[in-house]
Amino acid sequence: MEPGVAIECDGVSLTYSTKSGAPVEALQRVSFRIDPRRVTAIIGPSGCGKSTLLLTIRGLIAPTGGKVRFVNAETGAKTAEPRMATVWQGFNLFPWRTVIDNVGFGLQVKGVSRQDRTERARHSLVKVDLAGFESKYPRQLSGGMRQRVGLARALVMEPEVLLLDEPFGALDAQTRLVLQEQLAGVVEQSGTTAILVTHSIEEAVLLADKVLVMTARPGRIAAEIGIDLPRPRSMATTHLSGYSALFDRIYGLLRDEVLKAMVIESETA
Amino acid sequence: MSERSLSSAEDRPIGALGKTISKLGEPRTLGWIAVGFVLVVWEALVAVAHLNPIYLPRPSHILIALVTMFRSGGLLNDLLATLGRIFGGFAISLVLGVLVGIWMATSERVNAIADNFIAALYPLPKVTLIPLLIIWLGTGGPFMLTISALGAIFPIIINTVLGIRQCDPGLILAARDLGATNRQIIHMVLLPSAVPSIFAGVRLGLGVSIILVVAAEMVVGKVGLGARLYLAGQVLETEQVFAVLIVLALLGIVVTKVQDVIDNWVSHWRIS
Repeated sequence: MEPGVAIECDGVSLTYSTKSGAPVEALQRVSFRIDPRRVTAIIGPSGCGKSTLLLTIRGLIAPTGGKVRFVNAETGAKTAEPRMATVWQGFNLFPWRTVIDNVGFGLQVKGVSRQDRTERARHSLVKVDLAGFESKYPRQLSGGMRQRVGLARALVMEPEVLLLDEPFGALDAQTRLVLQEQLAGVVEQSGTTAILVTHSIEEAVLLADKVLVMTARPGRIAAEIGIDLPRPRSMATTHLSGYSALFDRIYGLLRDEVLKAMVIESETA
Repeated sequence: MSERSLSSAEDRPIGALGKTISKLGEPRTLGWIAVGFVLVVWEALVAVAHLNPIYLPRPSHILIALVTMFRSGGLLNDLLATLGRIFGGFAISLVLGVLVGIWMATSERVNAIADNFIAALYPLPKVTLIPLLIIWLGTGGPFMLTISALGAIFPIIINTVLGIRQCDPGLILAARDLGATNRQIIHMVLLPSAVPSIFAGVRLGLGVSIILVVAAEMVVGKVGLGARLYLAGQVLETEQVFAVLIVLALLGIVVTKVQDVIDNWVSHWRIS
């Protein structure tokens, strides 16, 4: 097996100015490493910059300080940027495109022929149990189905790194449970690296190999916690004593930060 | 959608009067019965009261005048000339308007430059430009196309800018994430998401184009519905005046219905 690409964030900082001109420090010297073929969860209070961090890794926002590096996991040598694809909290499906054309979007911009991309998009839809919905429009689907289209649209790009920006944040609790399991299965099968931004401790512990806990704004890494619970994991995992110990530890770290974030929010509101 | 909910609201009888009216049939049928009723009363009134046909001709005579004008009076040529001017100018303004709109929406500098000119020209009644345009362009085809294009271009520009600005930033991020270039984002994200808004601009713009072309024809035209209308009025051919008005009204209905069909077709993803 190839060694794979690790992602190293080295002192990443991001400061932007608001409309009133006051600078806001979103990220402050964030450093960590993301191992290939592992699920890394980033958890933190709302407004801590965890989604911003994801966009910075993806290269959609340039950091104002520090670097995001892609390196060979064994030798540590610099490598090219791996193929990456993102699943978004708000789904971000193109409402004027059918399901199959949404999934095929990334292939279309790469110049893949219509026949080819239809076939690959179909294949990707099967992976998320959405065969038969090819010609529907996003508006005709439930939230859970829309997010599965979002997942299929990312998977069809055969990403080496899958970025998940609170993918279940907009879904109801039951749909979320089912999709978490489905996602865990898909990620394990494809063997991709996954970065999961979430505000759910349960989701982070159930899905991740490593959890990065972030502080309130300016976002820093408060702790790195390895999750060594046995796989495959399911709801039954939550009954293990190891699970509750990890849950409590992360909750303890987050609680103070969430309170701080609430103060920041009330000050800026 | 709205039509259906409207009619179902009217289906519910409201009091005694409502019950009697609803017995006459569907609201749509009732609408046509009303039109027929007005025409019959009109015809009878003119015949019985011996009104001077210069003031109010009989509907039946207007119909005869209309048919005669089409058969031997060259009204079809006038209609085609007017349509050519309206849609020729409109096509120019659609292409230019959407291009300028995209440019303005994607570049703050271009927007700042164009904004003042548009703010000055948009609220100006375009008929007031007719004398100036005649000085510059004469009264031929270029003048007619320009006046028609001027009518439609501002609503199209403004709605294109609006539509693109309202595009969900999440969609642009998603497209970028999937590898789209700036050009692809304009073609595959910004423009499709702005289509409903652009079409709202098209509706407004085409209406203004029709008004302007007919008005310009009334001032300077030798052919065209506006010219025909004005000449008929000059020689007190009231039946012909009414006949041209009917053609203009029908033109309006056809344009509106065609727009409805196109609108449903290009925006089907919003409704379904």
